[in-house]
Amino acid sequence: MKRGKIYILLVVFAVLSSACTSSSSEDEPVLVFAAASLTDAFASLQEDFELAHPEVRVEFNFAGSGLLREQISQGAPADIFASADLGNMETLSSVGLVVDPVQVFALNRMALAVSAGNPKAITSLVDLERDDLLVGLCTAGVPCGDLARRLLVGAGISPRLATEEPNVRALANKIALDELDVGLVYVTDIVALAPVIEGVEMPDDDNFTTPYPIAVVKDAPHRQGAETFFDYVNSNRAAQILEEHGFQTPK
Amino acid sequence: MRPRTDTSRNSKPGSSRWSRNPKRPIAPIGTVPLLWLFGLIATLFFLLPFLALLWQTPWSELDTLLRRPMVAQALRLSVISSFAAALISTIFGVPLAWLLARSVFPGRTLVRALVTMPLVLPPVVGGVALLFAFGRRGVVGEALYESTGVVLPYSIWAVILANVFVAMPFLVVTIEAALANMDGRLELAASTLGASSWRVFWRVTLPSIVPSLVAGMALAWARALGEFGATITFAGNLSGRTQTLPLAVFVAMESDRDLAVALSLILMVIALAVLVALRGHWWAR
Amino acid sequence: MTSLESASRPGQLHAHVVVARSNSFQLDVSILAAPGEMVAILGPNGSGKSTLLAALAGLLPIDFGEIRLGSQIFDSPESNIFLRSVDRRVGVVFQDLLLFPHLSVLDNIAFGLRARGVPKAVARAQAQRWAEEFGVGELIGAKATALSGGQAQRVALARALAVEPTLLLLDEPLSALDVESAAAVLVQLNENLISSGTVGVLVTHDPQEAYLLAETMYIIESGRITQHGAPKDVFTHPATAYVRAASEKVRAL
Repeated sequence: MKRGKIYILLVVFAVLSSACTSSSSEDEPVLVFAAASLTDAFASLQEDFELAHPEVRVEFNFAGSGLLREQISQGAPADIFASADLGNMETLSSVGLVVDPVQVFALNRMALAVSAGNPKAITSLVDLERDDLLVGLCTAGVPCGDLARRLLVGAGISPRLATEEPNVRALANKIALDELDVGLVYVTDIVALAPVIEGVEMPDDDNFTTPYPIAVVKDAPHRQGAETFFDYVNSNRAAQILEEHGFQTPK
Repeated sequence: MRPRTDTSRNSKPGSSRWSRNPKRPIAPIGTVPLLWLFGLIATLFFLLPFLALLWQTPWSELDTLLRRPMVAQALRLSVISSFAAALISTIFGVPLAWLLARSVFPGRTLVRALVTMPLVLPPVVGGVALLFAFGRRGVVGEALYESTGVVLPYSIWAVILANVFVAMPFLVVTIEAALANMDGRLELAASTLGASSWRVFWRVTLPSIVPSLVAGMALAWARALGEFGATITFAGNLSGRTQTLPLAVFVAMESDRDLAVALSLILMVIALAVLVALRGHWWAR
Repeated sequence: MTSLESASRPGQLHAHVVVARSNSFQLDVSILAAPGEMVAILGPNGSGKSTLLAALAGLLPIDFGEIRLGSQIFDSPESNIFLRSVDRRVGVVFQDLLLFPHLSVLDNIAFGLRARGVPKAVARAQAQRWAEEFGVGELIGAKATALSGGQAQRVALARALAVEPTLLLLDEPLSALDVESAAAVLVQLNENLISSGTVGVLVTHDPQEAYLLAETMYIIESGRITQHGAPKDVFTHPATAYVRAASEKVRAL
């Protein structure tokens, strides 16, 4: 009986100590919290990054920027935060939850998205007021949604909405499925989902670019790997890949 | 001194027959400390998140927050769609449960598996499937749209459908079990008395499973109230038309944490109110 | 059709029941009963009497033979006729009584009448009459679950008789009653049967019950009839060991 108890104690100790050591080792992946609109671009970046830096692995958590911001402020173990707007990043940096420097690594523009073939013959923002169309936007509070609303207010348009999707990919997918006729998404979404989705060009004065900042999270569990990834995302090499996906880069 | 066997106090189930002093009942088999411990841990596990929610509630701004029109609209939609879903689930779910429990037909096992799937699948998957079936370009939805111009998504009907999809399985499973467990000989007795098969069902079978029926409806209603994934995928999200309370909470989490908490509070209050009202009254056999 | 057919009087029960229950057990019996007559089927447990009852009630189709009541054929595999129990005017009192727990005594008794389309008020009035006849008149408002064994048994009898069946089947009908109540019920029952021309078939393992209630008795053992006749005659001249043992349990002898 006594011997049995000693064995149990030994096993427990071994398990605990191995758990303790492994959590601080650097061969655990770097956890990147990134806006949903970065899904495809970051997948490509991940491939390229792991070629260039085989010692560091990266994992992603894609969601709405606001939700990610909330998770980080509640203590989620993120190493990197890449937001689709400045506002969410500023909220975190103002309370010191992200480390300087905060870098804008990409810029996006909005695009009018329609399903393949543009069956409803949509040509401009004004069409969003048509009552024979199913129109979708992102919810207010999500960068894509706020940006779209700024655009529409600037152009003096009030659309008849069928739905407000919680993130831009959900919106784009519904348009691709032709369950919605039109919506305002990012140029990068058009690039990613083509050809099932098409973009309708908008005149420049109706449109503008929106910056995507990236930063290392304070107390990141994998600080070194995070900084490596951070530098990579801001490099020329990454900029090329980002542009292929439809982003503009500050370079 | 009270007599040892005081039968007037023994009408409630669970009351102790063996207590000398009715004010301090002693369980006849004694308590089991291990069960108490685990039960307590389980209770705490459920209690703590709710307490944390109450802790985070912005009590001083609650009034202002709750006055926003989107709150009343979300509440209205949640209440309507959850009760409608419970009703529809009952009207169609009871016959289905009856078929599964009483009839033998080819493919019965498959049907039972299909009906149980929404219990296992992530609700978003259910929403996607509903979209592919009843959306504007859906297998059935396209025909509907081409012939009548009716689009199911983005309407309250889509919300109700999504709710029914995830909630009805709860009712079917409950009722099927009840039917399987009831004394089927009562139905035989009714038959010998000349009752048609409909009369047997309506006057004997159903009344025999009333407690399970209520429990099944309550379960379905509760599931429908909390439904999110299938709703947002199939019905979309628009305040006043399809944005139920769970959707409103999710959207609010993006930008207005206080609002999200306030909305969550409403959901909790409704759920608690109905579940407490039902407990003991109907659930006990 | 056959000479048997022309020989049967209106309302007489003519049952040749052959049922193969499992590989080892086969029931093969022939029963005759006249209108107004109470016939007892006496046998040990497992002898096949419950199967016989189920077949007569229409809850179990027979494999061979024929069940006929007067000119109405209940079950004839040869002619491909099977009348489900809902279509037979048969009253059954089950061993477990099977009163409907969610209904009052009155509604239990009225159930069969309502099932046959009798308007609610009329059915309840008739049920009231039946309840009083069986001595449970004051209990009509009680829930079926609140009755004592003896009261419940009377209600079950009333319920079965309320539909004025042409065939009454009883499974151990007196098991919950004491001797005095049994005697009273027995008188009631026989009066009813004779006046309505109903055929009564009683299945039991209790020789006393068979002796008290029946004019004719069939002894069933392992699926076969081993003796039949008036109970007194059968018990005083037992043909098998079982009957001999049974006769010792009959107090009147």
